[in-house]
Amino acid sequence: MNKKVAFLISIIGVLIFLHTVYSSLQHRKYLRLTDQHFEGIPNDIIFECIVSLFIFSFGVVNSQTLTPIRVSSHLSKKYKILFTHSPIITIEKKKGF
Amino acid sequence: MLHPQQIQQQQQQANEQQSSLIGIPEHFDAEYIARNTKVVSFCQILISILGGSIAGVLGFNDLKGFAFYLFVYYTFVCIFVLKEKKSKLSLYFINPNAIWYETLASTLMPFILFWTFFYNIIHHYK
Repeated sequence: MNKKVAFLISIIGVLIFLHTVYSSLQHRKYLRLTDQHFEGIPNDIIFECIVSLFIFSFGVVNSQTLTPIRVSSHLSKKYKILFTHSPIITIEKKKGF
Repeated sequence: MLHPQQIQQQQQQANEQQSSLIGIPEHFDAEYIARNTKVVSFCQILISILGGSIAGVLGFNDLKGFAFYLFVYYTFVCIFVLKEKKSKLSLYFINPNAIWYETLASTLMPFILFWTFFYNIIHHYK
């Protein structure tokens, strides 16, 4: 998956979570104004929280890439010139030592 | 008595058999191992922060919160393993099964921090 898309997905997860915080605060305020007793958070907010957790974790996991740890997987892709090449040799050739 | 050349041939054959059994030992790059573990701990810390704040919003007390932490941790590990596929995971880690318990203790601190923070915001609201 593209990294930018994964980043956007994780931001959407955080925004959904912030919406749950705001709505739970609003629920508390509504109960206080109508003189009702608080009996836990409503089910739709709980559902929204769990959904936001899944969306955020999906985005974060996809935004990272792992690299293979075997030495042979890196060295087999390199050319011989990269090992023998050094900048001093090119300088010597240019200046005509 | 065997001829010395025959003895040499036998020794060579024995050495070849041993080397084919053992094979060339695998070499791992320490830099890439460190990078991979860093990636895993980075993801895990971010997810435990969001999980802790969710635990605070839902208002979990004492042991319920820690049970929720285990739930958050294993959802992350399941998503991670499903994304990378289990057979492929041995390419990136020396011990792929260590993901299931490695960062369990180290990411508990951000979880508790955000848990108490959001619990105080919402449930001690006056």
